[in-house]
Amino acid sequence: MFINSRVRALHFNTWAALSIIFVVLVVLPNLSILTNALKPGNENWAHISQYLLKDYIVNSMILIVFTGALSVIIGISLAWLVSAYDFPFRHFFSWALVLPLAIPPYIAAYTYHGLLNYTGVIQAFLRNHLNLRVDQAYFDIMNIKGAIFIFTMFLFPYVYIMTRSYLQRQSATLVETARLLGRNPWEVFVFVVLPLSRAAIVSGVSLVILEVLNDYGVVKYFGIPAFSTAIFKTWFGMGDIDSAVKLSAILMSIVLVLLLLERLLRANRRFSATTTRGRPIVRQRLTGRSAGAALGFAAGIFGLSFIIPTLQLLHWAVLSYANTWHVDLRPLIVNSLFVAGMSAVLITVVAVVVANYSRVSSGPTVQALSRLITIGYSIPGAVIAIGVIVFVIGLDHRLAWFYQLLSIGSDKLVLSTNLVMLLFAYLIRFLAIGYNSIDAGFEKVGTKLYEASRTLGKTMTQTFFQVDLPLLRLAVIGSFILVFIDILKELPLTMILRPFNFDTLATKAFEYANDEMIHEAALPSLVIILASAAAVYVFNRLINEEEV
Amino acid sequence: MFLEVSNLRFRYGGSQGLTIKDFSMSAAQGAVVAILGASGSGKSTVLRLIAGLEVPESGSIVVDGRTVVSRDTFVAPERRGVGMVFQDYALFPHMTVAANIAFGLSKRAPKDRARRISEVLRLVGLEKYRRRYPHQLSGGQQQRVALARALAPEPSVLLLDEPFSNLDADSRSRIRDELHEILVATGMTSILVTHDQEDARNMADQVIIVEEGRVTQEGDPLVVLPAI
Repeated sequence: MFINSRVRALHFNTWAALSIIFVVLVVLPNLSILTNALKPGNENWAHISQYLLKDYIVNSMILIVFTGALSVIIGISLAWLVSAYDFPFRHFFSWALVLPLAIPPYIAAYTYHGLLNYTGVIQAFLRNHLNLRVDQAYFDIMNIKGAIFIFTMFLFPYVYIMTRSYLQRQSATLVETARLLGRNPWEVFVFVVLPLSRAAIVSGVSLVILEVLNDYGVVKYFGIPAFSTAIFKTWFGMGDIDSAVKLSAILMSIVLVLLLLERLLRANRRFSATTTRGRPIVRQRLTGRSAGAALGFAAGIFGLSFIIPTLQLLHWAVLSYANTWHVDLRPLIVNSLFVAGMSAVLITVVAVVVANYSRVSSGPTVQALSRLITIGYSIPGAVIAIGVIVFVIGLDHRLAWFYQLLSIGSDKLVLSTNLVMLLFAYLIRFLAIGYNSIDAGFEKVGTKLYEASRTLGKTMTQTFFQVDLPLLRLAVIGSFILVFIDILKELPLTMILRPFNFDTLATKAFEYANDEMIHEAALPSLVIILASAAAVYVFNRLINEEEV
Repeated sequence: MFLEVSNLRFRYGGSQGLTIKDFSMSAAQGAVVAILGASGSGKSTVLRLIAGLEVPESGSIVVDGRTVVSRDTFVAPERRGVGMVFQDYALFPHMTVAANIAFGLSKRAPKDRARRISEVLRLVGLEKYRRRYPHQLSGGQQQRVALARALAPEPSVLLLDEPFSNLDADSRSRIRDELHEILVATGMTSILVTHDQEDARNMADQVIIVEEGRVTQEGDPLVVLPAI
């Protein structure tokens, strides 16, 4: 034991205590899902598990498999195209193809529906100008195929970004060697590039899949029975928290299996470490028809996944501007900025504390803890929401004596009817975003300056404020921006946990669209897209700087 | 002895083997001791243990009669009064030369602090550079700032971790002589970690050869490292 007491003298302090508290807070609600799921089910549950559960599972699997496969195909081919070939506007597409991430899938869903339906601009044009009446079946996007299209178009950039940054950094010598050994470009792609970038592809596609499972807006709007909508319905519609917990637990198990799978698939990524200094591939110049084809492919994808929906939203925004601007956009913006700002500050502070502690004390337990707190980002919003509800209501009951002391009344639910619950849920879900940014920042700063400061007579806390924080400034700003934007467009958590009558840009846009007031949804949607585009830019920069 | 290190054992978190195995050494007041070894021999770890940046599994360290590590003592690095010059100097990039040196002097009165800054800057011959930032200095100048910063709080022991490894061969011998002069002038008990026999021969009063975390030879450099 004597070692431990001395190790504590070096590392154990307020930082450690706070870190442990934060980790426990983040993990407990998720654990409460798993433990509560073991209770015997009620009548609702019997009904759900007998008639509905199979649909949820099948639909979720179809969405995951097809979205995953299509995202991989589009993401990799674009990444390879912009990394290995030169064609007109290559440089523009290289970064522009990241932009679809700025459009949350639920916004894309109702935009495309509005675009394609009977009164939409395409059918109206065909009808009025060409006198064509089309079979509605071809233009119906509100089904599972439509959902796959939306998810693919607006999530493939995850695969694209990961693969591209890998290809541009790591593969040059290997690709050149393969060429010198007489392989044609197609063979190089299949036998060298694909196997090499497997780890990057897997991490990209797992982000896509996690986003699909997290989604509430698209499946709800398209009326597809899926886990997230089912969790909502059992909680809000039937008021049955026990069954909601059970559904959450199943969804969470699916996610955990996927994470395990990801780990296995990435297991031997070691061979990427042998080439030390990254050098971009020397690009082959495409000419004539092949240049046209490359340009057409990139432009087509970019058009579908960014230009078309943005233009459509702009058009609607112009039409509805007079109605929405004065009436309710302002309180929405204020609410959104307020919750996003508060949470981003909170999350960044927590991330800094935990990252600083885990960097300084490099023991295996601490490393495991820091991995635990980032797991929230993998867990779908609806699951976190239910976990937080169960946890916070339990806390309210336990604090009843305290409320009585403050003469609020002992039967009141204080925390659970308050913004606190929402902020807490954001913390769990988005801590990983802040943590990764801060952790990368600390990585760059290194530990030498910290150590130098300690040998010059400063404590860990003094060192943090005088040395680490000034050098960490950019990472802190990056963390704040990324978290801020993610919360700005977040839907499921906000829908479930917001206090009564508390609307944000995201919830209002979605409600408008859900109430068939699609023009009114445009303006708040555009605000979100604009802000997200800025964040996507930051994210892209961070990815590119990593390991360079 | 002024510095007494006894039977240190240490392993890095999660690793199987010991990095440091029953390491003992001592140094007289004002002596310059060179710890010589190949990379991976554990020589830098010894410095980190003396500085308090790592906690040994067992063993003890006594500096100037004060036990800083033992079975049930651990003095945090900021309270050890040990100065360290890091391999890559670890100068705070967001602070000027003067601010870097002032960093370890925060407990002193402002007047006293200013006097001490000038004193050590004069010692390393960088009076004119006090307002510069680290990136505006050459490698050799950065090293002297790091030295001045470590000396400023008047530590009882000065630790130097591969102080010449970032310098080119031309300036190396000149800077080595300068550093030696400064150490002799201050009478500072110093421990120097290096993989270069030349460093040990030119600077040290005593040399300790480390292989795989163990002392294999110890003594006067002229005896242990006969000139080739």
